[in-house]
Amino acid sequence: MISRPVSRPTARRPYVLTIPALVVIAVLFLFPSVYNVVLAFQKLTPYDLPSDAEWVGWDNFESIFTDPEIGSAAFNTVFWLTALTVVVRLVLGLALALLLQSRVLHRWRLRGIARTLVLVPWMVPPVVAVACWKWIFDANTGVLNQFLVSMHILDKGEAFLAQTSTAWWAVAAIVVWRELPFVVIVFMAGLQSIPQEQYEAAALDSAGRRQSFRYVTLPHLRPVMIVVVLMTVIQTFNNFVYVWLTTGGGPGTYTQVLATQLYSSAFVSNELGQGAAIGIVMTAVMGVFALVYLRVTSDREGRSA
Amino acid sequence: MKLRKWSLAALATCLVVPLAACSGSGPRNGVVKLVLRQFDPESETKGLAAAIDKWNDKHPKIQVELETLSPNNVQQFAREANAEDGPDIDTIGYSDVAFLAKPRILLPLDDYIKKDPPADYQDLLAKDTISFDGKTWAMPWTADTMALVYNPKALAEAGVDSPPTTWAELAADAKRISSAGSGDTTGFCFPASGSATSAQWFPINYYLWSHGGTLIEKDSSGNWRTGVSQKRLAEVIDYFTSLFSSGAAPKADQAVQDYSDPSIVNSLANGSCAMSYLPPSTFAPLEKQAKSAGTTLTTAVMPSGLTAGATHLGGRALGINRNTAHPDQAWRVVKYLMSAETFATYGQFPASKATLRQVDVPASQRAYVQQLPHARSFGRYLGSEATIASIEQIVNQNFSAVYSGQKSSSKAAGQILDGLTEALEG
Amino acid sequence: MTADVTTKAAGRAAGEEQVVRRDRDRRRARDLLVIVPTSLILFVLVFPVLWMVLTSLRPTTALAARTPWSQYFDGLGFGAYGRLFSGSHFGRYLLNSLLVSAVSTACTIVLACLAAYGLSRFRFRLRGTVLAVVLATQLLPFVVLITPLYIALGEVGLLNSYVGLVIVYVAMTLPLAIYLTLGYFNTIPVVLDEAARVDGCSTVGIVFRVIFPIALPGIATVVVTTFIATWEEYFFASVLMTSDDLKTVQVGLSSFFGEYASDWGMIMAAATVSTIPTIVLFSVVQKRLVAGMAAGSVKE
Repeated sequence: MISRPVSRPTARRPYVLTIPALVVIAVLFLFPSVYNVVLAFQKLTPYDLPSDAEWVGWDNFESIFTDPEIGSAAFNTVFWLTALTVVVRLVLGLALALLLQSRVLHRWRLRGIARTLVLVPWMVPPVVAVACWKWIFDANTGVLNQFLVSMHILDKGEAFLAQTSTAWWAVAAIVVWRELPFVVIVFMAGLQSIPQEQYEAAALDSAGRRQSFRYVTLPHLRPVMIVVVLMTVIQTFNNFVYVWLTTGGGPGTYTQVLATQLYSSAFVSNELGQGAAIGIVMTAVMGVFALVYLRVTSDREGRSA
Repeated sequence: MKLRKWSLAALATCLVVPLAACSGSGPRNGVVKLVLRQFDPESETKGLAAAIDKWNDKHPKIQVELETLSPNNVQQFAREANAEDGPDIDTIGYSDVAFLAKPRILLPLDDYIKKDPPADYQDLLAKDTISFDGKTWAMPWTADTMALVYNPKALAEAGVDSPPTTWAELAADAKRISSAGSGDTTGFCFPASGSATSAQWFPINYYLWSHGGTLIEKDSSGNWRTGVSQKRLAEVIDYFTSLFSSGAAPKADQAVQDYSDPSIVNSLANGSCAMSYLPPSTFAPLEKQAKSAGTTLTTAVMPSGLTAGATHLGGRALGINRNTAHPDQAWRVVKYLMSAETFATYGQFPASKATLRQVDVPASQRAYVQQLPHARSFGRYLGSEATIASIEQIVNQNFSAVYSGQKSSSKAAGQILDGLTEALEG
Repeated sequence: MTADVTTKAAGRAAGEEQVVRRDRDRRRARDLLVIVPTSLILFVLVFPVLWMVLTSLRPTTALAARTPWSQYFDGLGFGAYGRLFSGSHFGRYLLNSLLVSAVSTACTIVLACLAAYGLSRFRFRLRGTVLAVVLATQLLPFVVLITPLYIALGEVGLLNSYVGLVIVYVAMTLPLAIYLTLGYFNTIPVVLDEAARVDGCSTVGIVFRVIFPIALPGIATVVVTTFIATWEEYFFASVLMTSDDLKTVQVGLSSFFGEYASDWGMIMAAATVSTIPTIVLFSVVQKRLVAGMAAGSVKE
């Protein structure tokens, strides 16, 4: 695209740099998302040609908001699926990144292996991850139940994914397990980009470990952390694979989330328009979240040298 | 270094552009190429592949290519057909034919049937699912149903001499097996999760049909309505809930959605579960697996399985894509696939009573053959505004909610009926 | 006197030795405070995968029931792997996935670096808009894009082609890649590019010769993220690639979970095989990452 060094006026340079990426992104998102808005006001099945769609006005949105299940699905999405797992991932992720950075592991020659191991869950495709965990959680033959029973914590195997008391915890465990490495690795890269002399300077000021963490590490991680939180929140909020494959929204509709509702409206009940409408509501919710979030965090966004 | 990356990407792009598929299948030097798509895992299609090889040897001018797209994804076929592409012949679950007929994605077959009828056209099963708007859109091809799979030894040990023939008997026998002996054999196991595709859908319907109810039905003036009272439906829910509360079925099954889930199949194979239900294609390999583990498994008809319409007739139809360039040749292939010749190597049951009589069936699978002529397809739920998948979802979710103690059975029954009524209104 | 001194000295030496030893013991104890929790967490992270591998090696008959602890390792063998490779085109799917993921990742990284540099170093009028657009793409649930996307790609004849899938994957992974890269570029002092500009580097030269090497540990993260995202993607791959020669691993895997899958061993074998390439690749990147980091810290 840009092969030879050509000196251009600075004013145009940022556009030249960002346009290639924007063009590619537009290919995938622009037309489909505009069409998605159109679809939300239509009645159409996955089997028809788009040209055969019927216009139904606001019906699709109406049927979402009159659905008695929507409240619990929204709560499940916000609290159980997103907030809980993101917070746990952040705390564990930061702790693990710090542990993996520590000199101790380096001294014991364990750093390389530990860093490779931490990525392992992430290399397992979600579909497979769910299969593995179902196999572990299984009430009859699952190794977890076997362990708990032989430790006398339980009398007899429990179906973790089939009872209301444990279903969400089990799903959250799977999400955290599979998605934790991403948080760890981003934090580790962030930690590595902190210049060593800052710590040395802090040490000269006789700052303790806690203080240098507070005044050097955290401020430096801030830009990375802002990105991680935003991205994980959005991706988890929209994620449908985990719930769909582990509990299918069950027992009953106990673990139903918005994304699984979207999927079943669009592809099980064959109402593409209703799915599109749920998608738009979800997009709007995330859009508001992102705006507020960025407003709150952006006071120092930009260059921090 | 970076340059190299760029050039690599560019090179790769240049390499793959020519590979971009072109779906034009014009006859090359007089050979017609047809694609047949099916959705079983490849490991189970050797028999079908053999039948197609036989065809290809005999008809050098019409070559059929078997394409596997598993799991079944009928919406994908619709997408492709709407983009004027897709395989020439598609394998379609009976309940899905109507979806493809409505937007006219398939080729109507009536003229072909008149001109060149299949061998025993009058004798086909599942005909109610393949017609729509007065036309025929696909040909019934294979037939299956659920039979009761049981372990004779486990039954005998608990003092049960013969497999149950009614639902009440099944519950009593299963409870007896569970509480007999050392307690490591469960009487009945079945997938009971609340997801849309959970296979508890089958026994729920069987139970309802054999007790004279149905989820939805057409009234005399052709309008759709629900076909069961709240009280009767609550009794159905209570029956299945009692299987768990009496210990007849393991609570763990409430997390299982598939009859072929390892936890069910394996516990049948090793004798820790005495009874379940399976279609023939799952039973056949399981029987082998059980033998090698030292267990004998066999089948019996489902409770009330010989009552007309008390069990479901499943299976696949063959449809021809409206975009095909060679409809006549495709029809010939469809006819061949429906013939006894194909079923000589293909391990499914044919959807034709006459062919069914010609096929060798091992003794352990006789129950299927006994039951099939009495089974009735889910065509009974077709034609309303509600899709079968959405009915399944409402029913499975509510049953599951009662098992897990979130609702009472009468409340769940009420919500199922409300949900169905709403779905019927569209 | 002298004797006194010597004993004192000896005493001091002994004392110092004691201090050293005590320090060493204390350090050992402190080390354990790091090593034990790290090992525990890592064990939990790795266990399901080990379990998956073990399951794929165990005989089919053993997978059915509760196994006493002592018998878990009885009769291990590669039977499931044999079934996997003899009965399916799994090898072909692996190659397809590798090709698509590698090319997509390369394209994404290049485009993301350019865009992130532009966003990081320049304050231009549309900067906010660009950021908003990049972010907005992430807000959409992907499931809703599939129908229109399919129609659009069908129009330009890119269904069932590597190119179509690569374009989709690059677009899908770019926003996050740009954001992450931006986060790393923002931590690099502007002084560096000014110095390079004085030396006569072009903008692209600065991005790839100056900034890129310094941000390498961060970029490695983006590489890993992007590669994994494309490697594990199922939905688009299953819809856009239906020809058997072009299927990716995920689509191949899903057919094992198909309607009649009860061969737990083979499922786990397929799962294991599908994670091997990623593990190998990252062990390589990992070394690079650590090495680059060591060099980087010296430079800084």
